[in-house]
This record gives sequence, C-alpha cells and structure tokens, in this order.
Amino acid sequence: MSCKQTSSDENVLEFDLVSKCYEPSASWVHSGFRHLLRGAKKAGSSIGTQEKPCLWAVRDLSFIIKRGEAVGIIGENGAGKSTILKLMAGIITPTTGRVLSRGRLVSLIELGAGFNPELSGRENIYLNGAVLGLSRKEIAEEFDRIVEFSGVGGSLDKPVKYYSSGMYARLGFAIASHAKADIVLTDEILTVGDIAFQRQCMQKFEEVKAQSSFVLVSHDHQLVRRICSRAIWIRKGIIQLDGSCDKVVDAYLEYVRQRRDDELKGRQPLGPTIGASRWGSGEIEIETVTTHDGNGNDRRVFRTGDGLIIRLRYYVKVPNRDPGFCVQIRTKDDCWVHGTNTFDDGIPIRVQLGRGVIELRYPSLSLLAGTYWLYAGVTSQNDWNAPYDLRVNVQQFDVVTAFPDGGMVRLEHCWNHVEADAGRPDPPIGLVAQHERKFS
Amino acid sequence: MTRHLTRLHAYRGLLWNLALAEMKARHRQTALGMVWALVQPVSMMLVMTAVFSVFVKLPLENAPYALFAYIGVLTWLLFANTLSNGLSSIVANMNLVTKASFPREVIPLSKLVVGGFDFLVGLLLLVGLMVVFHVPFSTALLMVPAIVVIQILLIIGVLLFCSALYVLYRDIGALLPLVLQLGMLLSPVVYPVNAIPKEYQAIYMLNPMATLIEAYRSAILFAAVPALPSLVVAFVVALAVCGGGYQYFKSVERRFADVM
Repeated sequence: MSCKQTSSDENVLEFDLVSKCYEPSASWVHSGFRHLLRGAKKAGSSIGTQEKPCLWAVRDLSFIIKRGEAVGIIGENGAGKSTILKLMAGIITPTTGRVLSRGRLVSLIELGAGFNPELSGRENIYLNGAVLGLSRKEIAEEFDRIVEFSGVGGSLDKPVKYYSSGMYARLGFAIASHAKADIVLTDEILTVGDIAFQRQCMQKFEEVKAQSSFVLVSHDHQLVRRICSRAIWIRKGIIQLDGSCDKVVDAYLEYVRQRRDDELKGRQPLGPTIGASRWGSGEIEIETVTTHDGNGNDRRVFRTGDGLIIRLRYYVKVPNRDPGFCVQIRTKDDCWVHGTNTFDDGIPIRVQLGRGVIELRYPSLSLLAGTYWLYAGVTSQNDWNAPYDLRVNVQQFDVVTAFPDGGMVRLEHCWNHVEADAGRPDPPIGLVAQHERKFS
Repeated sequence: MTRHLTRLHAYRGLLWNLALAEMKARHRQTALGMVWALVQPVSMMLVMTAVFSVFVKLPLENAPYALFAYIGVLTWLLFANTLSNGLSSIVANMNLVTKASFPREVIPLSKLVVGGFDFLVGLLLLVGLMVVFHVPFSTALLMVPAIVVIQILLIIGVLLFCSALYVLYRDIGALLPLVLQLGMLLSPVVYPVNAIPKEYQAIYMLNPMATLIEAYRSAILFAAVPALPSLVVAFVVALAVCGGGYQYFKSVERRFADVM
C-alpha cells in the first residue's frame, strides 16, 4: 500500500483510508432503507428489520495515482471494483475517508448515459459534453473530430432514439474520449460494438493514455497487462496487492488458479457436463478421462507452458483387434484446437478383456487462457463413423496465463528490428534477433 | 458554500444544456411549439375573468380584471410549475446521477430555467395586454426586475429543498399538488388582498407569494412603487430560504446515488 502524504500536483487521484458502506445511516433509516427495499422489489419485506449490520463494499483503501500513470484494478466479481470506480468518479461519496481528484475526470462507463433520446446526435454531443464538464467552446473545437470518430455522420441530425445501440455506444465513446481528461476511468467497454469499432477504441485508448492518467477496472487480466503499468488487486473490498502490473497480475492469476483448482477438485471429476454426449457400439468403453500435470498430480487448471497428461481408462468387453484411441481439445465454443489419434500417429495398440489405461502427454501446453473441453474416443481401423465409444465434452480444464499474447495459442516468436538507414539496402531477412524477450 | 458555487459556476454549461434539451424535446413534434407556454396562463386568465368579473363581481379599484388576474396567474405559475417539474427531476434523471459526477442542483435548477423561459414569454404577452388595456408604462416598472429576483431566490430555495427531500421521502410527490392548490387559494391570485378582512391581513401577508403578487400588481397596474420595507423583508426572507434550501440540498446530495 502506498500511503505517502505528499500532496503534490502530480497526484491526480488520492484515496485516503476510504471505506464505503451501503447501509443508510440512522438519521434517515425509516425512509431511505424503505426505498432501497422498494427499489430492489423485495415485496412483502417487513419494514421492522431496519437494523442490519453494515455492509462494507470497500474498506480502508489508500493509494495515490500519479499523473500519466495507467493503473489496472483487478479482482473477482463482487470484490468492490465497481464501488471503487464510482468513488473515483465522485458518483458516490465514501462513508469514511477521503477521495481527492485533480483535474477533469471522465468515465467511459455506461456510454451515452446522459443522452436525451428526443434530441439529435448533434444536440446530444453538446449535452453529453456538458455532463462531462466541457464548455460549449471546448465541445465546438472537438465537434468535427467527435463526429468523424463516431461515424454517425449521416444521422447526426436525427433524434438518437432512432440510433442503433452500436451507434449510441460509438457516439458516447467518441464524446468521452475527446474530452481531454486528466483522469480517464473505464471498465470493460471494449466489449461493445463490432470488431472494427473495438479496434478503433483500442487505438484511441492508447492515444488517451498518452495524455491522461488512466484507470481500468477489469477482470480481464490480459487487457490490464496490455494497457497498464501498475495494478491493484482488490479482494473482498481491501487491497490485496499494489505494484507493478506483471507482479500483481501474476499473483492474482496464481490465486485464481489455486481457487479454481480447489473448486474443480471439489466437484465430481467425471459427470454429466453441459453439452456432454456419448455414442458407440460399446465393445470398448471409455470409463474416465482425467487430467494431470507433468508430475502426475490431479490438476484441472494449468498454466501456459505446464505439462499436461490426459489419462483414459477403458474397459474392453468383447475381444477385438486393431483398436485405437483419439483425443481432441476444443474451446468452450466448440472450436477445435487440437486432435490426434493412435492410428495416425502409428501407435500399435493391443488390448485384452478387462480394464486398461492409455495416456496422452503434452510436454508443454501452448494454450492461452480459457476453458477447454476434451473429447475422447475409441474405435477400430480409424473408422470414427462407427466408434466403439466416443465421448464429447467428457472432461474440462482451465488454462490461466502469464503471457500477454492474444488469441488461443502461444506460438514461439521474436521480433527483429533494424533501424532504417538511408542509402543502405535492406538487410537480409532474418538478420538480427534484437528483441527476443524470454518469458519464464 | 463558495466551493459549491464555484463548482456550480463551472457546470453552468450543463445547466443551460439541460434546460435547452428539455425545451427542445418539449416543443419538438408539437404543432404549436412555443405557443404552448402561453396556453396555460391565458386560459386560466380567461376563465377567471369570466368567473370573477362576469359571474361574481370582485371589488377592484379601477383596473381591468383580466390583466389583474393575468399578473397573479403568471407569478403563481412560475412558482408552481417550476416546483412541480423540479420536484421529481433528480429521480427522473437517475441515469445521470448514478453515472456522472456533477453538482446535482443543476438538474432542478434547469427546470427553473425552463419555467423562467415560459415566464418571459408570458411577460411579452403582458406587455401586449397593457397596450390593449391602455395601462400606462411608468417608472415603477423598473421595480419589476427586482421583484423577479426576489421571486427567483425564493423559488430556488423551495425547489432545492423539496427536490432533495423528494429523493429521500417520495411522500412529497403526493403532497405537493395539494399544497400547491391550497397555496393558490391562499395567495391573491384571483382576488385582491384588500378582499381579506383587515384583522387577518397581517397573518395573510406572511405568505411571501402574497407580497410578491401585490408588488407586481402595484408596479405594473397601478404605477406605484411597492412598499419598500415589505420588499426588503421579502428579499431577506427569500435570500434566507435560498441559502437554507441550497445548504440542505448540498448536505444530502452525497446520498442521492446511494438511495437510487
């Protein structure tokens, strides 16, 4: 925790022992609490039970965000991230402690929240700009850029109630991101709009980041790693760790891995799972499919680069010749990541009546973060149209990752860069490997 | 207080924009547009004139009743409409309050701007009526802006107090229409103050709206500068109400986002 009391101008945002409790204080209990209940549509609740223990959303938070810093706030659902964001934005005030911000603060949350549906896009740019604290002159200066970025050009003078939700969000983002803020707050807004717009947002993000302090509240640690230099991990409303992005995200991932592993271990290792199905003639049955790390320990959560052993236990009911096994790894949206079988790999299999075990070993898993499903099957003569047993979504495992790469797999790579030099011909391809960065 | 006012000043653009947005949204897709600002006061004036100068005759000292009633109605409507529009305005703009940070008083005050605009349109018609009824334009009219200021201060205080209270106690929403109806009967909107028996007048004039309507009438209709002591008292009271209402608003403002 950084609690330095240097009130310099370089500190754009200061939290000083900030706590927030979501219970009304006694002075307005009989009104405010009733409205809370009414708002939450808790029909039939007795109004007599007003005295409830205080529910602390966040407790004793102290940190300072300096000018130009990009800070990621990570944590699980319900850890208090949104409360922190609202406290930063000044939407709610702390129950105890002090929040101090300097300069213009713009939040890229709930884009277009201040739009008046009856007014045109043009009028709403001025209205929304004013909500963000911009003067008419400032908006006028940015007006053309906002319109261009949002791409609503043709509909600028139509009431925004006729806009699609994508246009709505685009216009909202365009206004907020052109507000020349000193502090920008945001959460996972990049999930709105189409791919092209997300890319545009990302680009604008980088631009805004260069001029402003930046706070990103997210549980997408990839995004945090990509954008932020510092991270704060919030757990159950308190700061668990505050420091360099890599350090904090790694610690958080390790924690998530542990928790997820414990959680998955607690479950039945093999049971009916979502989308699970099975078919085949049944001469050989696959009884269980389990996942293990390189040392043979039961594991359901892996890190990129870990060893993975998939073990199939089978039961031969009818004597037969030339059987073979297959394993497939698929993502949760059924994208086929990898598949192999013993026929194609030329592995001869002899089975006898009764039970047996076969293992598939991946020495170093190159999958990136996500949940993956396993298919396992057994058949004869590589005929997968009439298998003995084919089990779909028979087992599931998670991968967490410390790599900043995007996508599904991590491919070995390095960057080669040769500075341009006028008058000299291009260097031969593959000349230097200057920027190889080793990940442990 | 100064801190609050500085912040409010910084957000004056939002105040105008919200008011402008409401006026535009209100007049859009209507055939008559701004004329609607006049429909309410004029129709009330016409009905009152029919009732109180044709059906029942009220004792009036050489002034056209229509104009007399119109001044009362205009003054009262600025107060009543601003209040009833502004009361639930914070709750109605919940999406703004829970998502953006700005001085919340901007929202109810924008309703005052809208009400003030209607009032100005009404004043234009008043000038026209004065010409029609051959009411002379005297120097006493110079007092009108001062009276307007007093009335605005009073409205700001009551408006801020009520709209903040409404966020915490929605009961006010049911109470206000009743209070406004009774208030209109207890203010000299349709009848002159001298219709009140002398012994009750001291109590009657405790209603600041009575002082204001009387002052408007004396300046506009009777070319007489209103009694200054009562105006000074009204100004002090209005200033106190304004300050108190603002203070209360700022003290509960921080809870708004929690309650909603």
